[in-house]
Amino acid sequence: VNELESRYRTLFVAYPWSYRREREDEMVATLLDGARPGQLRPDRREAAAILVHGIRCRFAASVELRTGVQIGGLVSLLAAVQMVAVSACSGVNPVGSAMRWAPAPTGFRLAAWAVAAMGLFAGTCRRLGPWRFAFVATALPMVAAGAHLAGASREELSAFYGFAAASLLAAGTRVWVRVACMGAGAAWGGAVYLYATSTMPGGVRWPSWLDPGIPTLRNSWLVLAVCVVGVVLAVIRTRFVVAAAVVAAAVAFAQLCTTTLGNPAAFTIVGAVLLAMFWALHALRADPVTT
Amino acid sequence: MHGYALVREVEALAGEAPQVATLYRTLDRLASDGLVAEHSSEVVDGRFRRRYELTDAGRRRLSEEASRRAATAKTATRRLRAGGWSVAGAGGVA
Repeated sequence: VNELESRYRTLFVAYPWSYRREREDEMVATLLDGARPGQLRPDRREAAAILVHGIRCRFAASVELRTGVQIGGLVSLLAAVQMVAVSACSGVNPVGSAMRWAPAPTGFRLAAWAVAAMGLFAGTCRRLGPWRFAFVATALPMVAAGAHLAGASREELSAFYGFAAASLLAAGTRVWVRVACMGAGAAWGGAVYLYATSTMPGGVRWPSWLDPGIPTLRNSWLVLAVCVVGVVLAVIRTRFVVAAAVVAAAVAFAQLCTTTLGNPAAFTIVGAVLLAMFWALHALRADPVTT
Repeated sequence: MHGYALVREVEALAGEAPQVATLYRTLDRLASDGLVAEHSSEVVDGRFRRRYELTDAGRRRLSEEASRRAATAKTATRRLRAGGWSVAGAGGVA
Protein backbone atom coordinates (compact mmCIF):
# COMPACT_ATOMS: atom_id res chain seq x y z
CA VAL A 1 0.00 0.00 0.00
CA ASN A 2 1.66 3.22 -1.08
CA GLU A 3 1.24 6.63 0.47
CA LEU A 4 -1.28 7.89 -2.06
CA GLU A 5 -3.45 4.80 -1.72
CA SER A 6 -3.35 5.05 2.04
CA ARG A 7 -4.45 8.69 1.88
CA TYR A 8 -7.28 7.92 -0.50
CA ARG A 9 -8.45 5.13 1.76
CA THR A 10 -8.46 7.52 4.70
CA LEU A 11 -10.89 9.75 2.81
CA PHE A 12 -13.27 6.82 2.44
CA VAL A 13 -14.22 7.02 6.12
CA ALA A 14 -16.86 9.45 4.87
CA TYR A 15 -18.72 6.52 3.29
CA PRO A 16 -20.96 4.05 5.13
CA TRP A 17 -19.21 0.82 5.93
CA SER A 18 -21.18 -1.35 3.53
CA TYR A 19 -20.53 1.05 0.67
CA ARG A 20 -16.82 0.84 1.43
CA ARG A 21 -16.96 -2.93 1.42
CA GLU A 22 -18.73 -2.91 -1.92
CA ARG A 23 -16.89 -0.13 -3.71
CA GLU A 24 -13.76 1.10 -1.95
CA ASP A 25 -11.20 -1.23 -3.58
CA GLU A 26 -12.60 -0.56 -7.01
CA MET A 27 -12.78 3.22 -6.56
CA VAL A 28 -9.28 3.40 -5.09
CA ALA A 29 -7.98 1.37 -8.05
CA THR A 30 -9.64 3.82 -10.44
CA LEU A 31 -8.19 6.77 -8.52
CA LEU A 32 -4.71 5.22 -8.61
CA ASP A 33 -5.06 4.45 -12.33
CA GLY A 34 -5.65 8.13 -12.93
CA ALA A 35 -2.91 9.40 -10.59
CA ARG A 36 -0.01 11.41 -11.97
CA PRO A 37 3.43 9.77 -11.79
CA GLY A 38 4.96 10.51 -8.40
CA GLN A 39 1.71 11.88 -6.99
CA LEU A 40 1.65 11.53 -3.21
CA ARG A 41 -1.43 13.45 -2.18
CA PRO A 42 -5.02 13.16 -3.37
CA ASP A 43 -6.19 15.82 -5.78
CA ARG A 44 -8.11 18.44 -3.77
CA ARG A 45 -11.22 18.48 -5.94
CA GLU A 46 -11.23 14.70 -6.01
CA ALA A 47 -10.88 14.59 -2.22
CA ALA A 48 -13.77 17.03 -1.82
CA ALA A 49 -15.91 14.97 -4.19
CA ILE A 50 -15.17 11.79 -2.22
CA LEU A 51 -16.08 13.43 1.09
CA VAL A 52 -19.26 14.99 -0.26
CA HIS A 53 -20.36 11.79 -1.98
CA GLY A 54 -19.60 9.78 1.16
CA ILE A 55 -21.71 12.03 3.34
CA ARG A 56 -24.51 12.02 0.76
CA CYS A 57 -24.45 8.23 0.85
CA ARG A 58 -24.83 8.29 4.61
CA PHE A 59 -27.81 10.61 4.47
CA ALA A 60 -29.43 8.88 1.54
CA ALA A 61 -31.32 6.76 4.02
CA SER A 62 -33.38 3.89 2.79
CA VAL A 63 -37.12 3.83 3.31
CA GLU A 64 -36.72 0.48 5.06
CA LEU A 65 -34.41 1.83 7.70
CA ARG A 66 -36.48 4.96 8.17
CA THR A 67 -39.58 2.88 8.78
CA GLY A 68 -37.72 0.68 11.24
CA VAL A 69 -36.56 3.69 13.19
CA GLN A 70 -40.01 5.23 13.20
CA ILE A 71 -41.63 2.06 14.54
CA GLY A 72 -38.93 1.65 17.13
CA GLY A 73 -39.17 5.27 18.19
CA LEU A 74 -42.90 4.89 18.58
CA VAL A 75 -42.45 1.77 20.69
CA SER A 76 -40.04 3.58 22.98
CA LEU A 77 -42.34 6.55 23.25
CA LEU A 78 -45.30 4.33 24.10
CA ALA A 79 -43.20 2.52 26.69
CA ALA A 80 -42.27 5.85 28.27
CA VAL A 81 -45.90 7.02 28.32
CA GLN A 82 -47.00 3.71 29.74
CA MET A 83 -44.34 3.87 32.39
CA VAL A 84 -45.30 7.37 33.50
CA ALA A 85 -49.00 6.48 33.42
CA VAL A 86 -48.47 3.39 35.52
CA SER A 87 -46.42 5.39 37.98
CA ALA A 88 -49.01 8.17 38.14
CA CYS A 89 -51.80 5.68 38.80
CA SER A 90 -49.87 4.02 41.59
CA GLY A 91 -48.59 7.27 43.06
CA VAL A 92 -44.99 6.31 42.53
CA ASN A 93 -42.32 8.67 41.26
CA PRO A 94 -41.05 6.94 38.12
CA VAL A 95 -37.47 7.95 38.83
CA GLY A 96 -37.66 7.46 42.57
CA SER A 97 -35.55 4.68 43.94
CA ALA A 98 -38.42 3.24 45.99
CA MET A 99 -40.96 1.67 43.67
CA ARG A 100 -44.25 0.63 45.18
CA TRP A 101 -44.26 -2.44 42.94
CA ALA A 102 -42.99 -5.46 44.78
CA PRO A 103 -40.01 -6.57 42.73
CA ALA A 104 -40.07 -9.90 40.95
CA PRO A 105 -37.62 -12.59 42.02
CA THR A 106 -34.04 -12.02 40.97
CA GLY A 107 -34.13 -15.17 38.88
CA PHE A 108 -37.05 -13.85 36.86
CA ARG A 109 -35.42 -10.48 36.29
CA LEU A 110 -32.10 -12.00 35.32
CA ALA A 111 -33.90 -14.35 32.96
CA ALA A 112 -35.69 -11.37 31.41
CA TRP A 113 -32.40 -9.62 30.85
CA ALA A 114 -30.81 -12.78 29.47
CA VAL A 115 -33.63 -13.20 26.96
CA ALA A 116 -33.37 -9.53 26.05
CA ALA A 117 -29.62 -9.81 25.58
CA MET A 118 -29.97 -12.92 23.43
CA GLY A 119 -32.72 -11.26 21.41
CA LEU A 120 -30.55 -8.25 20.83
CA PHE A 121 -27.57 -10.38 19.90
CA ALA A 122 -29.64 -12.39 17.45
CA GLY A 123 -31.06 -9.14 16.13
CA THR A 124 -27.62 -8.03 15.09
CA CYS A 125 -26.83 -11.27 13.28
CA ARG A 126 -27.21 -10.62 9.57
CA ARG A 127 -27.23 -14.32 8.75
CA LEU A 128 -30.71 -14.59 10.24
CA GLY A 129 -32.01 -12.29 7.52
CA PRO A 130 -35.41 -10.72 8.07
CA TRP A 131 -36.09 -12.96 11.03
CA ARG A 132 -33.60 -11.14 13.18
CA PHE A 133 -36.32 -8.59 13.69
CA ALA A 134 -38.37 -11.29 15.42
CA PHE A 135 -35.71 -11.59 18.09
CA VAL A 136 -35.51 -7.84 18.49
CA ALA A 137 -39.27 -7.52 18.70
CA THR A 138 -39.24 -10.17 21.41
CA ALA A 139 -36.46 -8.50 23.33
CA LEU A 140 -38.04 -5.04 23.41
CA PRO A 141 -41.29 -5.70 25.27
CA MET A 142 -39.52 -8.29 27.38
CA VAL A 143 -37.21 -5.66 28.75
CA ALA A 144 -39.91 -3.02 28.93
CA ALA A 145 -42.35 -5.13 30.87
CA GLY A 146 -39.78 -7.22 32.69
CA ALA A 147 -37.71 -4.28 33.87
CA HIS A 148 -40.02 -1.53 34.95
CA LEU A 149 -43.00 -3.56 36.06
CA ALA A 150 -40.88 -5.97 38.05
CA GLY A 151 -39.41 -3.19 40.13
CA ALA A 152 -36.75 -1.66 37.98
CA SER A 153 -34.16 0.78 39.16
CA ARG A 154 -33.40 3.97 37.27
CA GLU A 155 -30.41 2.24 35.76
CA GLU A 156 -32.53 -0.57 34.43
CA LEU A 157 -34.97 1.85 32.90
CA SER A 158 -32.13 3.74 31.28
CA ALA A 159 -30.75 0.48 30.01
CA PHE A 160 -34.13 -0.30 28.52
CA TYR A 161 -33.88 2.78 26.35
CA GLY A 162 -30.41 1.71 25.37
CA PHE A 163 -31.68 -1.71 24.40
CA ALA A 164 -34.50 -0.12 22.46
CA ALA A 165 -32.06 2.08 20.56
CA ALA A 166 -29.76 -0.84 19.85
CA SER A 167 -32.67 -2.94 18.69
CA LEU A 168 -33.72 -0.20 16.34
CA LEU A 169 -30.32 -0.22 14.75
CA ALA A 170 -30.68 -3.93 14.14
CA ALA A 171 -34.12 -3.46 12.67
CA GLY A 172 -34.99 -2.60 9.11
CA THR A 173 -36.46 -5.31 6.96
CA ARG A 174 -39.59 -6.05 4.99
CA VAL A 175 -42.65 -4.25 6.29
CA TRP A 176 -44.88 -7.31 6.62
CA VAL A 177 -42.24 -9.18 8.61
CA ARG A 178 -41.81 -6.18 10.85
CA VAL A 179 -45.52 -5.79 11.46
CA ALA A 180 -45.97 -9.52 12.16
CA CYS A 181 -43.03 -9.56 14.53
CA MET A 182 -44.20 -6.47 16.34
CA GLY A 183 -47.55 -8.17 16.86
CA ALA A 184 -45.86 -11.26 18.25
CA GLY A 185 -43.61 -9.08 20.38
CA ALA A 186 -46.57 -7.16 21.75
CA ALA A 187 -48.33 -10.42 22.65
CA TRP A 188 -45.20 -11.66 24.38
CA GLY A 189 -44.82 -8.35 26.24
CA GLY A 190 -48.44 -8.56 27.31
CA ALA A 191 -47.86 -12.03 28.73
CA VAL A 192 -44.83 -10.80 30.67
CA TYR A 193 -46.85 -7.81 31.91
CA LEU A 194 -49.59 -10.09 33.20
CA TYR A 195 -47.08 -12.35 34.88
CA ALA A 196 -45.25 -9.45 36.49
CA THR A 197 -48.40 -7.83 37.83
CA SER A 198 -49.98 -11.04 39.11
CA THR A 199 -47.06 -12.80 40.74
CA MET A 200 -45.00 -10.27 42.65
CA PRO A 201 -43.35 -11.80 45.68
CA GLY A 202 -41.04 -10.15 48.18
CA GLY A 203 -38.42 -7.58 47.40
CA VAL A 204 -35.13 -8.54 45.86
CA ARG A 205 -32.22 -6.29 44.95
CA TRP A 206 -29.72 -6.60 42.16
CA PRO A 207 -26.60 -8.55 43.14
CA SER A 208 -24.01 -6.08 44.42
CA TRP A 209 -21.65 -6.70 41.49
CA LEU A 210 -24.40 -5.59 39.09
CA ASP A 211 -25.48 -2.59 41.13
CA PRO A 212 -24.04 0.59 39.63
CA GLY A 213 -24.27 2.27 43.01
CA ILE A 214 -25.20 5.84 43.78
CA PRO A 215 -24.19 8.10 40.90
CA THR A 216 -21.87 10.91 41.85
CA LEU A 217 -20.56 13.92 40.00
CA ARG A 218 -17.45 11.97 39.07
CA ASN A 219 -19.58 9.16 37.61
CA SER A 220 -21.50 11.72 35.60
CA TRP A 221 -18.40 13.15 33.98
CA LEU A 222 -17.26 9.65 33.18
CA VAL A 223 -20.63 8.96 31.61
CA LEU A 224 -20.40 12.13 29.56
CA ALA A 225 -16.93 11.11 28.38
CA VAL A 226 -18.32 7.74 27.26
CA CYS A 227 -21.01 9.57 25.28
CA VAL A 228 -18.43 11.67 23.49
CA VAL A 229 -16.23 8.68 22.67
CA GLY A 230 -19.23 6.73 21.40
CA VAL A 231 -20.32 9.52 19.10
CA VAL A 232 -16.81 10.03 17.75
CA LEU A 233 -16.49 6.31 17.07
CA ALA A 234 -19.80 6.29 15.26
CA VAL A 235 -18.71 9.15 13.07
CA ILE A 236 -15.48 7.51 11.95
CA ARG A 237 -16.87 4.00 11.57
CA THR A 238 -20.34 2.63 11.21
CA ARG A 239 -20.03 -1.07 11.81
CA PHE A 240 -22.87 -2.25 13.98
CA VAL A 241 -20.70 -2.96 16.98
CA VAL A 242 -19.48 0.61 16.97
CA ALA A 243 -22.95 1.98 16.50
CA ALA A 244 -23.80 -0.14 19.52
CA ALA A 245 -21.10 1.77 21.38
CA VAL A 246 -23.09 4.92 20.73
CA VAL A 247 -26.14 3.19 22.06
CA ALA A 248 -24.17 2.39 25.18
CA ALA A 249 -23.40 6.08 25.33
CA ALA A 250 -27.12 6.74 25.04
CA VAL A 251 -27.74 4.47 27.99
CA ALA A 252 -25.10 6.30 29.95
CA PHE A 253 -26.56 9.63 28.92
CA ALA A 254 -30.00 8.52 30.00
CA GLN A 255 -28.57 7.56 33.33
CA LEU A 256 -26.89 10.91 33.61
CA CYS A 257 -30.15 12.71 32.87
CA THR A 258 -32.21 10.75 35.34
CA THR A 259 -29.50 11.12 37.94
CA THR A 260 -29.03 14.83 37.47
CA LEU A 261 -32.65 15.84 37.13
CA GLY A 262 -34.16 13.26 39.43
CA ASN A 263 -37.77 13.98 38.57
CA PRO A 264 -40.43 12.64 36.20
CA ALA A 265 -39.67 15.37 33.64
CA ALA A 266 -36.33 13.67 33.16
CA PHE A 267 -38.02 10.85 31.32
CA THR A 268 -39.53 13.22 28.82
CA ILE A 269 -36.12 14.76 28.26
CA VAL A 270 -34.41 11.40 28.03
CA GLY A 271 -37.03 10.20 25.58
CA ALA A 272 -36.60 13.29 23.42
CA VAL A 273 -32.81 13.00 23.50
CA LEU A 274 -32.90 9.34 22.57
CA LEU A 275 -35.37 9.91 19.76
CA ALA A 276 -33.06 12.63 18.46
CA MET A 277 -30.19 10.16 18.69
CA PHE A 278 -32.21 7.59 16.75
CA TRP A 279 -32.54 10.05 13.93
CA ALA A 280 -28.88 10.98 14.04
CA LEU A 281 -27.89 7.32 14.01
CA HIS A 282 -30.41 6.75 11.28
CA ALA A 283 -28.44 9.13 9.12
CA LEU A 284 -25.13 7.59 10.11
CA ARG A 285 -26.46 4.16 9.27
CA ALA A 286 -27.65 5.24 5.85
CA ASP A 287 -26.80 2.35 3.66
CA PRO A 288 -27.86 2.68 0.04
CA VAL A 289 -26.11 -0.48 -1.13
CA THR A 290 -27.41 -3.14 1.21
CA THR A 291 -30.85 -1.83 2.05
CA MET B 1 -15.51 -1.21 -19.51
CA HIS B 2 -13.89 -0.64 -16.10
CA GLY B 3 -13.78 2.51 -13.97
CA TYR B 4 -10.68 4.16 -15.34
CA ALA B 5 -11.63 3.35 -18.94
CA LEU B 6 -14.93 5.09 -18.25
CA VAL B 7 -13.09 8.14 -16.92
CA ARG B 8 -11.07 8.30 -20.14
CA GLU B 9 -14.14 7.75 -22.27
CA VAL B 10 -16.03 10.59 -20.61
CA GLU B 11 -12.96 12.81 -20.95
CA ALA B 12 -12.79 12.06 -24.67
CA LEU B 13 -16.49 12.81 -25.10
CA ALA B 14 -16.90 15.81 -22.82
CA GLY B 15 -13.40 17.25 -22.86
CA GLU B 16 -13.02 16.97 -19.09
CA ALA B 17 -12.41 13.97 -16.86
CA PRO B 18 -15.14 13.36 -14.28
CA GLN B 19 -14.34 13.01 -10.60
CA VAL B 20 -14.18 9.36 -9.64
CA ALA B 21 -16.74 9.82 -6.85
CA THR B 22 -19.10 11.48 -9.32
CA LEU B 23 -18.56 8.70 -11.83
CA TYR B 24 -19.46 6.04 -9.28
CA ARG B 25 -22.47 7.99 -8.07
CA THR B 26 -23.68 8.02 -11.67
CA LEU B 27 -22.90 4.33 -12.07
CA ASP B 28 -24.89 3.55 -8.93
CA ARG B 29 -27.86 5.43 -10.33
CA LEU B 30 -27.62 3.85 -13.76
CA ALA B 31 -27.33 0.41 -12.19
CA SER B 32 -30.38 1.01 -9.99
CA ASP B 33 -32.29 2.13 -13.09
CA GLY B 34 -31.25 -1.07 -14.84
CA LEU B 35 -29.34 0.72 -17.59
CA VAL B 36 -25.90 -0.59 -16.66
CA ALA B 37 -24.88 -3.95 -15.20
CA GLU B 38 -21.74 -5.49 -13.82
CA HIS B 39 -20.10 -7.70 -16.42
CA SER B 40 -17.11 -9.18 -14.59
CA SER B 41 -14.46 -8.41 -12.04
CA GLU B 42 -10.76 -9.15 -11.86
CA VAL B 43 -7.58 -8.11 -10.12
CA VAL B 44 -5.00 -6.55 -12.44
CA ASP B 45 -1.58 -5.58 -11.05
CA GLY B 46 -2.99 -5.82 -7.53
CA ARG B 47 -5.88 -3.49 -8.32
CA PHE B 48 -9.49 -4.55 -8.21
CA ARG B 49 -11.39 -3.84 -11.39
CA ARG B 50 -15.03 -4.31 -12.09
CA ARG B 51 -16.24 -4.18 -15.65
CA TYR B 52 -19.61 -2.75 -16.60
CA GLU B 53 -21.69 -3.08 -19.69
CA LEU B 54 -24.86 -1.50 -21.00
CA THR B 55 -27.98 -3.54 -20.56
CA ASP B 56 -30.46 -3.81 -23.46
CA ALA B 57 -32.53 -1.08 -21.82
CA GLY B 58 -29.41 1.04 -21.41
CA ARG B 59 -28.46 0.56 -25.04
CA ARG B 60 -31.94 1.60 -26.16
CA ARG B 61 -31.92 4.64 -23.89
CA LEU B 62 -28.48 5.69 -25.12
CA SER B 63 -29.52 5.25 -28.71
CA GLU B 64 -32.64 7.39 -28.19
CA GLU B 65 -30.65 10.04 -26.36
CA ALA B 66 -27.94 10.11 -29.04
CA SER B 67 -30.57 10.42 -31.79
CA ARG B 68 -32.34 13.21 -29.91
CA ARG B 69 -29.14 15.15 -29.42
CA ALA B 70 -28.06 14.55 -33.01
CA ALA B 71 -31.40 15.93 -34.22
CA THR B 72 -31.03 18.98 -31.97
CA ALA B 73 -27.49 19.59 -33.24
CA LYS B 74 -28.61 19.19 -36.85
CA THR B 75 -31.41 21.73 -36.43
CA ALA B 76 -29.12 24.18 -34.69
CA THR B 77 -26.48 23.85 -37.41
CA ARG B 78 -29.05 24.36 -40.16
CA ARG B 79 -30.46 27.50 -38.56
CA LEU B 80 -27.02 28.86 -37.91
CA ARG B 81 -26.06 28.42 -41.57
CA ALA B 82 -29.31 30.01 -42.75
CA GLY B 83 -28.50 33.13 -40.72
CA GLY B 84 -31.56 32.66 -38.59
CA TRP B 85 -29.60 33.33 -35.42
CA SER B 86 -27.74 36.46 -34.69
CA VAL B 87 -25.96 36.98 -31.40
CA ALA B 88 -24.74 40.49 -32.29
CA GLY B 89 -26.81 43.66 -32.58
CA ALA B 90 -30.25 44.49 -31.35
CA GLY B 91 -31.91 41.53 -33.03
CA GLY B 92 -30.87 39.09 -30.35
CA VAL B 93 -31.55 35.43 -30.71
CA ALA B 94 -34.27 34.49 -33.10
